[in-house]
Amino acid sequence: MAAMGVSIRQVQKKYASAQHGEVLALSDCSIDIRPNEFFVLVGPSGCGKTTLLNVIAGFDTLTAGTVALGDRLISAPDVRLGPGPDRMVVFQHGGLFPWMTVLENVCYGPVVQGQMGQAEAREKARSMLAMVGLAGIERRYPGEVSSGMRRRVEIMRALIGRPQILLMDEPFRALDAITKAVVQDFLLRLFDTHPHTVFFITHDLIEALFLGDRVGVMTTRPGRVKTVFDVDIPRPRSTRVLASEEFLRLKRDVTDAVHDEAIKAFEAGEREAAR
Amino acid sequence: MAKGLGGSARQMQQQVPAAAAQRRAPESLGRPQEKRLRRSSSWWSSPAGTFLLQGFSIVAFLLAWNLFATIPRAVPIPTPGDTLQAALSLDPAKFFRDCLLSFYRVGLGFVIAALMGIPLGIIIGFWMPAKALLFPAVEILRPIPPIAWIPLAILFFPKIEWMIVFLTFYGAFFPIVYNTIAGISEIPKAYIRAARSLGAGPWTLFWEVMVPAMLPSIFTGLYIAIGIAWLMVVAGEMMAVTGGIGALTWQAYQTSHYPLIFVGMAAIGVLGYASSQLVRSVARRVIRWEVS
Amino acid sequence: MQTQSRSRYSSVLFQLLAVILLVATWQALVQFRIYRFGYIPSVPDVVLAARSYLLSVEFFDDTVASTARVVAAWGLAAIIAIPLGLMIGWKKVFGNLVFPTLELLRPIPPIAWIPAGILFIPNIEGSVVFICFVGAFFPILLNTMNGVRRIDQTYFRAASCLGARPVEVFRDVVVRGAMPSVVIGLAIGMGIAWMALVAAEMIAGQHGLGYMMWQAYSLAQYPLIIVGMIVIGIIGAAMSACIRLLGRNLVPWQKD
Repeated sequence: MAAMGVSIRQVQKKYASAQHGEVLALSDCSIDIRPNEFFVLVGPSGCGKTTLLNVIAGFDTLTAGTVALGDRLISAPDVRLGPGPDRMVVFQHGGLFPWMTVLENVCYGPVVQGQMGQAEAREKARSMLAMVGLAGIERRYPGEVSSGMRRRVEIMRALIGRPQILLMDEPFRALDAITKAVVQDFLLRLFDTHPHTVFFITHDLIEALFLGDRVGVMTTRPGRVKTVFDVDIPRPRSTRVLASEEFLRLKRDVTDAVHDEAIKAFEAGEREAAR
Repeated sequence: MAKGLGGSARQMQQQVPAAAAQRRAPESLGRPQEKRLRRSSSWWSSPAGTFLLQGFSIVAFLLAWNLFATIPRAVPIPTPGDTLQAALSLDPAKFFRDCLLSFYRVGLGFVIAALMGIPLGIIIGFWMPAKALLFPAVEILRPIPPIAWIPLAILFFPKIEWMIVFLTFYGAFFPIVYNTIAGISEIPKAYIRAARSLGAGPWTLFWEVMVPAMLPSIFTGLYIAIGIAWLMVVAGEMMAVTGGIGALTWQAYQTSHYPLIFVGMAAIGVLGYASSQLVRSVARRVIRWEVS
Repeated sequence: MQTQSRSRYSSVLFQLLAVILLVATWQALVQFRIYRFGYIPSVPDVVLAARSYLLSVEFFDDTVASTARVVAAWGLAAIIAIPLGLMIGWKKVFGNLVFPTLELLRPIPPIAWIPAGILFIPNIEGSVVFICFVGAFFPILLNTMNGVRRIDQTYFRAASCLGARPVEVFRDVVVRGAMPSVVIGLAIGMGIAWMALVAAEMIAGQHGLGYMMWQAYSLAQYPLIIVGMIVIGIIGAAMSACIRLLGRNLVPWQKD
């Protein structure tokens, strides 16, 4: 399969902010994501998770370090590959085009890249939607289907072009708890049947452990990966694992690690506000 | 469903190599990169570059106007130079009086429209029977452009002065009424409930919750209204030439002092812009909690 | 209870009552010569004038002339302002290059362009269309521009992720994302063009509804003025209904 790992080496990101002068968002941040691995990154808000994802996706630059996809360099201070279909992003607030029907959205990538003809792409999109139980909504607009369906359609849109890595930026943040559980289950099953490399950002620790093979905890700004936890919970996973001994132990450890950082971030925020 | 997933998974696996080979052409990935790099290091996105471009825009406009004016034709079009000369040779006192007169007419009509339109909007917005009786009448009158009232207004008002003030009033009136009504309908119910549960009486509920909540919409109406009031004053003054900047512009045309037309237009533009900014700055001061 | 009372008051019967009340007030004011309402034509006079005018050839000619002018001006404004607004909103460089000039001209109301319009375009037909064009141009331009600027950055990112090149980003994100705002601009532009038309025809026109009204005033056929106002109002309302219909087809993903 086309899936590839990502190696992030000593990445640093500095930017100039109008309010705080020069801000160091990421510093000495290194992660190795293995091929076909579901890697989850958690951390307090504002720690640079999304910045890192944007660097990998090609939306942002870095000021030091390197990011490589497989053996291809995609970002370094003097190298920058723009966004492309090899690194598909599933966006935080939803990235489906509201002006295209569900089917047009899913077809869009292959058609615009010239990979498939219109008819072939439609056929493919239809079968992909059908296999995940989304048949029957092809001709509706995203605004006409439920938020949970929208998230699933967006994941299918990302996967139809077979990206080497799937970048997910807190994709389930805006969902209510019940919908979230449904979409998480969907993603787990999809991952079981179609393994691919996933880089997933969240601040929901239970979500992180439930979905991920490994969970990285990020420090507060400047962000770097403090600890990586291996989630040794066998797949396929179901909600039953949420009550397992192993899960609860991991949850306690990860919570401790994140909690320290959250307190630091909170205090730093207080200091900034006071200044 | 799980079964279906598994079945199609095999199907997907089979298609992978072909698709991957088809797609990984190096230039298809190089293209966006070049583009991005160029954009991030461009001089024109710097503040100095922006300023330069904007300055260039204005200069290019004046040059284009100059060029346009030099095209030989039966009635020559004044150049920017002619216009500037005409502006400088004007009697400043008279010109200032014309500007002030137009400004006064707009201001008077606008203030009357606000004093009548806001209460009317509030009555229609809050009281159902009033809405049922008055709103259809407002709806019927709305599609008739205020300018179409000019002949009737001339007929009705004994003095031209009143006619022009009526026109500015009438132009300003509808946007104010409409936006007041819209402002009321958009007050979040939660605010009213919160105020009630905090023990607000009808008086405080109205003045301290509903009025602030509908103010942003009212100011939107006032902002639109002042623009239309300027349009109406120019139309009124052109139709009935009795002083004011619109009359100056029209007379310039009739007496073939063509450069003066552009002086008049510039003055109308500046005055109109200044009054809009005035409304905006008042709004900014009154509704401090609205960010933007 | 709220909804119940609303439905009762918004019934057709109540609206009819409101119209009757408006007309009755008008007639009463004229009948009893309150203030200067004696100078205003009465309801029966207007009905009589309407009957003869609406059956005449002039009515047909005036309506066609006015409608054709405003539609031509509005269409021309749309053809120029929509692409311009899309480019200004999309590319900052282009915006900086073009927008300062437009910003300079924008505060000048279309009516103030009447003398300059007559000067620029010596034939009357052309100058009337020009003035309507100025009226329609800026609302369309500004709404298009702001429509592009308000498109969520996510959609641009999603498109480039999916492999869209600039041409496709323009076609599939910029144009379609700005469309709801473009439609609003088209509706406002039509309203202002229609208003500018009436003014231009009154001041400079030959034929057309505005000209007809001004003639009626000059020739002291006062009831005809009110007939003109009503006809102008109805055609204006019909045109905004057409644009709403057009909008529904251009923006099928938004249900109002």
